[in-house]
Amino acid sequence: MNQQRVAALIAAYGSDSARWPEAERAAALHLCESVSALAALRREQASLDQLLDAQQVSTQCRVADVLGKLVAHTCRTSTPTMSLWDRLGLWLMPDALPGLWRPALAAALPFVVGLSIGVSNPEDMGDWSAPEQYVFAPYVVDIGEADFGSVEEGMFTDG
Amino acid sequence: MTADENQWVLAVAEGDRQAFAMLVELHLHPIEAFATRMLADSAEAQDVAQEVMLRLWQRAAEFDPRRARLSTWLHQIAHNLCIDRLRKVRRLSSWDETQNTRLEDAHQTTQLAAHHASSGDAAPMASSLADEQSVLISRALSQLPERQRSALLLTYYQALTNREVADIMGISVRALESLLVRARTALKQALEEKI
Repeated sequence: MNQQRVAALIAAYGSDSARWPEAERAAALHLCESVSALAALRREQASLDQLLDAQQVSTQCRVADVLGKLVAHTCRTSTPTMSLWDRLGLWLMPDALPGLWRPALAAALPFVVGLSIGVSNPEDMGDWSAPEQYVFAPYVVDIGEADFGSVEEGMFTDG
Repeated sequence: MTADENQWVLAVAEGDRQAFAMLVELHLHPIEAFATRMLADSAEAQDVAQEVMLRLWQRAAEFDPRRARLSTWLHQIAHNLCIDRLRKVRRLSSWDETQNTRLEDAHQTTQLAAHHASSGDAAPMASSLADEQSVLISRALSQLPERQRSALLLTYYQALTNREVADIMGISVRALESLLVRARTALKQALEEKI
């Protein structure tokens, strides 16, 4: 700590030593007591401090206002306007957790699509043998190409 | 108090409104006073103070007591909001000196009238002088450059350490001291001409 530093402290923080940095306060005060130039510097800054101290501002905010604003804000963010789909979901599953109806609906979607395609495109299934033939036709052809002949031969020879 | 405050902030992070109300009770007025001096506009300052408290409610979980005191954190939010508003005002209006002075005079008249009404004119001359002086100081403060004003107001009025103020402003302690010296010199010069 030296005189220059104490002068800098007074110029920056003012005359009141309580406003000086705590770590430097004791040493700075000690120097002020022994150096008259520093004491004069403090007196000079004291006039500005008095003016600053006299400048009071009135505060008008009330805690209740802030709490009211908070309630308004919470209402605005936690209960957004419900979309038509949300209303529908709530109507379909009133006891479901919020948002649960969406994954449930997504899981049921393939079933619903399949069902609707089946219902809207009915196929005439009067003769059940025809589809069966189509299904097994390649298998039969494959077998025929492989070793069906020997069986046929056997069959004919037996007859 | 700080340990209690940290507990309250934790409670606020979990949605405890009672803890929030206690913190608002403690910090609302110092923050509003800072914003009033910073913006020289009490309505704007009230908005800022309320916004700071709303941020406390929304972002309590982000507060880290190992990094700063709650007061420092709230002042940092308030300081940033004030700077945003000052810059917005500067952008939106040409903010010429005549208009500025006219607004301040209107504000001064309102303040004086309100004070006289509340004091019942017991000692109108003395209080009038004090009020006039207060308005002159307020005007001199508002004419300081933004950073000098921030430095002076945070250090002088807000019971923050120089390290805390430097952190709020994002500068070194030495840079803060330099700003303070310039602010006090400019303020002294401005007030000597008028008082």
